[in-house]
Amino acid sequence: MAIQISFGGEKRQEKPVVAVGIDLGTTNSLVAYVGPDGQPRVIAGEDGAMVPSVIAFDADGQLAAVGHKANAALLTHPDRTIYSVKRMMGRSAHEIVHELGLLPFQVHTAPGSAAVRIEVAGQKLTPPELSAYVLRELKRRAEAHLGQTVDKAVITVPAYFNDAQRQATKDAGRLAGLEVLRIVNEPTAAALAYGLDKKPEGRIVVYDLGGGTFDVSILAMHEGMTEVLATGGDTHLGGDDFDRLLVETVAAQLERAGMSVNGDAEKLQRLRKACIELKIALSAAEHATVQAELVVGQRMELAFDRSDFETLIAPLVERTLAPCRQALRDSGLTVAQLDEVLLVGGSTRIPLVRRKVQELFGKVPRGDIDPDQVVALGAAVQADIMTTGRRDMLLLDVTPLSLGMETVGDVVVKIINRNSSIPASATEEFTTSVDNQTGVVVHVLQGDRELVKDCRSLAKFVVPIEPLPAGLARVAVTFLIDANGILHVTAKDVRTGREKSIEVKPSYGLTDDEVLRMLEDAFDNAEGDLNNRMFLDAKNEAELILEATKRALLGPAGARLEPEEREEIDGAIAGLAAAVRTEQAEPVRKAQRRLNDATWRLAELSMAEALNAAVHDPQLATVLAQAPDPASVKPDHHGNRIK
Amino acid sequence: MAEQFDHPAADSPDAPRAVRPWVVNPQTGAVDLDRQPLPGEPEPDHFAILGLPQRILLDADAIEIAHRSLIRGLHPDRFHAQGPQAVAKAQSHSSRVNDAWRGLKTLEQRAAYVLTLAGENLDERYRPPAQLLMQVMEANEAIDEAGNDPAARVQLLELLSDFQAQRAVLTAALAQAAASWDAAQAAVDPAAALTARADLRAVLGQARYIDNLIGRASAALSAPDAAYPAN
Ligand SMILES: Nc1ncnc2c1ncn2[C@@H]1O[C@H](COP(=O)(O)OP(=O)(O)O)[C@@H](O)[C@H]1O
Ligand SMILES: [Mg+2]
Repeated sequence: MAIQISFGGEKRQEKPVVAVGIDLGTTNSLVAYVGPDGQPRVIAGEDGAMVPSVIAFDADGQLAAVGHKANAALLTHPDRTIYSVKRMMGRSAHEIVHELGLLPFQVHTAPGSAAVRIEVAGQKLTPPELSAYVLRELKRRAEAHLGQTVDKAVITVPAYFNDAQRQATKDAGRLAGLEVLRIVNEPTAAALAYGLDKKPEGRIVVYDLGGGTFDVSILAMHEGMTEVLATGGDTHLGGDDFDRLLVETVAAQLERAGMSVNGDAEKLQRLRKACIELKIALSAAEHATVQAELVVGQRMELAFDRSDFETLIAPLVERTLAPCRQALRDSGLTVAQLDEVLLVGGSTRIPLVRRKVQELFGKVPRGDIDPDQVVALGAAVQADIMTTGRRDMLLLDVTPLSLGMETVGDVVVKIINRNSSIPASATEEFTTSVDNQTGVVVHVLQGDRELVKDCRSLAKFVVPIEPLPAGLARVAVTFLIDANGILHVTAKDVRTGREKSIEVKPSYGLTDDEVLRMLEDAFDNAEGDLNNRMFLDAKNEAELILEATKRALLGPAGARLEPEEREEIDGAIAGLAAAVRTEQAEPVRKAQRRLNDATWRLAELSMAEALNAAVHDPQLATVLAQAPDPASVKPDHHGNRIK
Repeated sequence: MAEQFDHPAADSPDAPRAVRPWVVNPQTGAVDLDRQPLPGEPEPDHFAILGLPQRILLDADAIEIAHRSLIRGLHPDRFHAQGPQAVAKAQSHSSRVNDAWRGLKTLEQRAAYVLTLAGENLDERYRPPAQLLMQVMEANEAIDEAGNDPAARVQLLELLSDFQAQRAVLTAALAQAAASWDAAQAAVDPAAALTARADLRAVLGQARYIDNLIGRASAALSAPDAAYPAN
């Protein structure tokens, strides 16, 4: 027999853990979550939902701002402000310097580490550390909005990201204090958000053109299962490239008019800002003018025609079509078999892009999804799928690039083909060619080209082999691409069946040890995080208690209190409310203890009231009367045996 | 419960193994992936992993359904709440199901796979007949030129449609050889199996060769510049 009478007549409810979805963009980032009603929502701050992926430091190298404020610092302190970090994630120093030459950052490598470091405000930070700043800001936003700790997230990446880029993203999450439940491809996330209320059966193509990357995916949806059939893209193509073309054209015009911006970082930055405005205006109008202030106090007007802009970017837009065709071929489908075309990413607002996509796929793209938010919303849905178990949905993704191994003649043999469903694995057997050889060197690469130099080195490692006569020892190495698209390697002695351990060092990026060290280094800063977390927990509890106490005071029990009891409670309530405003955990706990002490008689009176009400409730009274528990006594009108 | 299986290949003299020893889940008909094979024991084949009979001619929908129903229960996303060990196990199991599915998707793949299981080495190079060789040389030239020479594109289009016609003939031949193989296995007829095997090998070699050509030609026609960025 058990009746539960809780203080204030209300059951105390723990808030369920919320895992968030994060779109960690080149240009803008967003965080979303799924509420108790099952609907995903983007979390907006005071300055909107989008957080520009920009980080500003002060002169001492301390973090100054992330997001819109940091964006503003881009003009005033370009040397201490960093953007487009995503383009540097998981890349080698060579790639950053040569392919991304336009980013004005100093790149360093350190002996003994494969990770690249970017110099900013006198510090050298790896791209995952930089991205972690953006992730921490999103985490903070989510925690403030939800009033609870958030430490689990699904983070999206371009489908075309390779192993190193995915791993770097995961590391960034870890550094920001987030357990990364899953790395999901952006177009897949978009499809997931889109498919939520429609439960579509069919094949859709997602065309995602953002600031720095282009992605296309072809998916099939059936019975809650979202299956990626093929994916393709270009990690060096996006709105930034349109900006660059426009800047170059306008700069050349200015040059001819005797106003050179060459070599002047600040002028160039201001021009870039004006050109982005111009580009965005041209998505809505045939002709646009914007005000630019290249030199403070000297305003000028820049004007451009949409048709000229389209001529300028047409070759780049054209370049997105080849990966679309390739993905379609890889999926084994024809244009006629596609049911929907979804557009994602800010650059799909450009009319020429829409026209080209429509031409290629022969379908009007859907216009009812917000291309800015849909990826974050989908990530939130995936987080919900993985943590609540309330959705019978499953996402089957593919690996965007083939996995291979180096063989003689610098040739790559494929072991897992691109667009294979993941998790995927392949096992290769190794043996020795010389007596007493103790190991075989394996070089793993990712990419779809034939030659080692055209593919991307993922890792090199030695497979340990027992020293035996040549050809006798056999070791089976299994390459497994997990659901995040990240490679794992295991080895087994074929004769004994024993597992062998292999140490795999990534060719680029951080080793596990490096991530751990960074986390330890960050521990000093983490004190702040920990305080924050403890405060949030205490605050939640305090709010529940305050509410319950206030309700009890309004009821009959409250009326039966002695005046001095009432006074003490009122004082304790005010004290707790004030403690919450300190944003410190310890004062809240203290004030809470005081309120607890002050309310014990109120609790007693409330309990008696509740019980009285219960035995006068005819329905409940019968239940109590029939209770088989021998410890219970038929309730008399005082009900005092039942506790 | 291996009798859940319809596996005619088992008793055929062509099959390297006399039985399929794997423990089968009676509900799905698929092999029990939890069981570790003993050292020296053969790994379950793709058909067994998906719970499908070892046949070349299989209904595409049946393969999809087998994969879908298995992966639904095995995907690591389903095991997140149960901790890293459960996830690791799910990762290994689901990858095997995906690998099996990937390996059996097309008729050509299944034909090649049963031949491999029967001990055939398919790496041997196929030698095209002289007439095809001529066309291949023309095609190679046209593929190189297709990016900037409209006449070469026209020629390549013609060659492509000819290759596609040849491929259609091969598809029919392959289906026929596959049917004979399946029938020979079902009837436990070693002589018929041997003939079917030789047919399969020959048609498969040609089909692969032509597929490669068709792939290269259509890639050259639809995407004049490189389809993928260097990465
Ligand atoms: N209305 C618009 N017209 C043209 N380009 C736009 C428009 N709105 C945003 N963009 C561009 O979209 C890009 C950002 O898109 P987004 O999807 O947020 O990028 P990412 O995913 O790379 O962070 C930027 O290059 C921005 O200039
Ligand atoms: Mg994006």
